[in-house]
Amino acid sequence: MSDFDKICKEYGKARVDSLVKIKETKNWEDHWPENKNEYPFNLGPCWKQCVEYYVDDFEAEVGFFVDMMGLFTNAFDDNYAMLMSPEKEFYFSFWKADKDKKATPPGAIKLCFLDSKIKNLKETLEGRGVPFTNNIEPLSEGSPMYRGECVSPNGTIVEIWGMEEEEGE
Amino acid sequence: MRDFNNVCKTLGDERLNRLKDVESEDDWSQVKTKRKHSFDFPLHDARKQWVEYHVSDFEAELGFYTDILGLSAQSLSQDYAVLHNESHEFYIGFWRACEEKPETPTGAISICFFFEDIYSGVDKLKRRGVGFTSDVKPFPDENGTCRLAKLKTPNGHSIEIWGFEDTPSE
Repeated sequence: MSDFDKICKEYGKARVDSLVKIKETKNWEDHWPENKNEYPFNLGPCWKQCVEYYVDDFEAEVGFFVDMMGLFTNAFDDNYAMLMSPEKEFYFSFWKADKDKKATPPGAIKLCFLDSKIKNLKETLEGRGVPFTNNIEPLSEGSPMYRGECVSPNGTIVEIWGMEEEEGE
Repeated sequence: MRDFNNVCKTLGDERLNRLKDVESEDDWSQVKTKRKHSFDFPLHDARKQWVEYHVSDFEAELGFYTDILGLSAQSLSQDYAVLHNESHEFYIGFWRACEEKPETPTGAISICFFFEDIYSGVDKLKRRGVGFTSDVKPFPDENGTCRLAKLKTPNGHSIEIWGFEDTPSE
C-alpha cells in the first residue's frame, strides 16, 4: 500500500468510526468529519461522469439498453457505446472486450436506478419481455419502497428501486 | 432468458449495421435516437442512477472519494457508501467485499469524469497527493483536441479524467 493509499485509509477509517457515534439523523452533522478537501471540479459539456465496463457480446448489450430500456446514445461506434437518459440525467458506457480489455465478470458491478413511478415501470418492462431475476416488489410487506432486479445479456446486474406513487399522481 | 438475450442481440446487430451506412448528421441522429422502445421512466430526484462495485479495502476507497476528491456521502454504513458531488450530478456506490460479494476485479471498470478544465483539476489533485498513472495527454493522438489523464483508486480501479484542450475562459 502506497503512502497515499494509507492516508486515504486513515481518512476513511475516521468516517466509518464516526458512524458508531451517529445514532440519529439530527446528530449526523455533529459527528461527521469535515471533508479534508473540498470538491472543486466543474464537470464538462459533453458528459459529466460515467462508469465504463467491458462485455463479450457487445451487440446484445446495445440491444438491451438502447432498444429494450430505451436509452439514448451519447457516443456510439462498433466497439463502444456511451448511453444516457433522454434528459441526460446519467451516463454509463461499455466496450467490446478484447485481449487487452477482458470482459467485466457477471455480477461484478450493479447499475442502479431510482424510479419515481415504479408500478408503471414494472408493467412497461414486463410488457417488453424483460425477464426479472427478482420481481419488482415491496421490500417488505406494506413497504412503500420497491426493488427488483434484472440482468443484462452480459450479466450486468440492473437493480431498480422506486417509491410507491402517492394517490392522485 | 436466452430468447430475450437473442432479441437484444438482433436489435443491437441492426443498430450496428445502420452505423455502417451513416453518411450525414441526420443518419447519425437516427442511429442515436430511433429505438424499439422509449425510455419513459421518470427518475426520482433522491438519487436517479448510480453504479455499485465491491472493494476489499473499504476505508481506503471511502477516504479517497470523500477526503481527496471531496465528494459527499448520501448513504454510509460500515459496509456500503453512496457518494455524490455537491450538485448531485452523479452518484457512485461501493460495498465492502465479502464472500457473497467478492471484490470487483481491477480492470473490470473505469470511472470517468469530464472536467471543464482538466489542467486545473489535475493540478489540484496532484497538490492533494494523487499520483497519476498517466499525465494529461492529447487523445486519441497528439493532434487530438481531447485530453485524458489516468489514476487509480486505492483499490486499483481505474479513474479517467477527460477534458478539452481549450480551457474555459475565466
